[in-house]
Amino acid sequence: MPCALYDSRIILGLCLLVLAPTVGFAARQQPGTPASSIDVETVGPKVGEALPLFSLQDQSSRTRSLQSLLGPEGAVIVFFRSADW
Amino acid sequence: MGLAAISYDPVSTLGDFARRRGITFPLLSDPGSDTIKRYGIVNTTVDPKNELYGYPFPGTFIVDRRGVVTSRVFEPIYQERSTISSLLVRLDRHVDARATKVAGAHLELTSYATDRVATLGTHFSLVLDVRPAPRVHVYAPGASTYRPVQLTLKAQPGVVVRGAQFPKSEDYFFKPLNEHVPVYQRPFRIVQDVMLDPSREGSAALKDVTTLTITGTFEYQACDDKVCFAPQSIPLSWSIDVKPLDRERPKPQ
Repeated sequence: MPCALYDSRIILGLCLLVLAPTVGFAARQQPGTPASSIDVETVGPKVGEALPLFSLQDQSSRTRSLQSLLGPEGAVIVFFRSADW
Repeated sequence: MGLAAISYDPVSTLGDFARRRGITFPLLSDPGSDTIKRYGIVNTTVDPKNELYGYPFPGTFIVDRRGVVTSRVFEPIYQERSTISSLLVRLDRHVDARATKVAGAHLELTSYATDRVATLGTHFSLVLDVRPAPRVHVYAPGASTYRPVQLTLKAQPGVVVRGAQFPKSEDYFFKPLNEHVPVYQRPFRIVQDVMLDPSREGSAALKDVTTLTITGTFEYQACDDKVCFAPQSIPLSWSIDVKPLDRERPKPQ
């Protein structure tokens, strides 16, 4: 296993996923506002707020809602750039 | 604990990626970025006219069983990403990593890296779990007349070391000298962020590296309520495998 983690319910995939956003990194620097001028702490739901609900298809075309992902200890929801580029 | 990762890729792209990388947890498709927009996390550094517009700032929400955010980490730069295990250790969660135990003078030290594998841009953590001996305290950052705990890593090309995270200290009143000093008397955790430098220079430095060894020292001074012992220095090292970036593209449908 490429990433030794803690909880077998989370495991493997996240370690691999960190590789995904780096695909084509050198070739795809984006023009626009310098990233350093954005305070990313101000974007999206804050600590103490409920995540907006969603219902999306997974890689096997199975529909998954936020509610269906929540376990007794909650969930980790990751937003990543793209698995395509 | 549930887990899912969301991008604006179509299902077919996520399916191809999951197969290639052996990913079995849900990768969720948000074509058109509707969810990304509702979350208010569209990457605004990109011109809306750009064909790639609509992808999010890279980030992670940790939520409780009701879906309420208990912690979140967002990165301004998509080339850099914290591993989930490095986020969890900052929340004092358990990480099943290969740890090394060291019996130091007047304390016990358990040390590990949160991840065994990293690539360019990966933020992982070096963790020191320190357990002072009974009735012993060590000095926390901010102690000026004693040597506070300090983790020092040897600099090397391609490795970026950022500020370490120390827990809140306790105030210790030493009556004979009528002094207050910040200390740790109970088990505490130091988390040191380390990144493999994704810049051109960092990439060049790590080009042929398959295993990285990071070395450093943990320094401290321990005292009990009567005696202050000589400052100590414990040598430490961690090994982590370095993987190249995944540059493979999805196969055409």
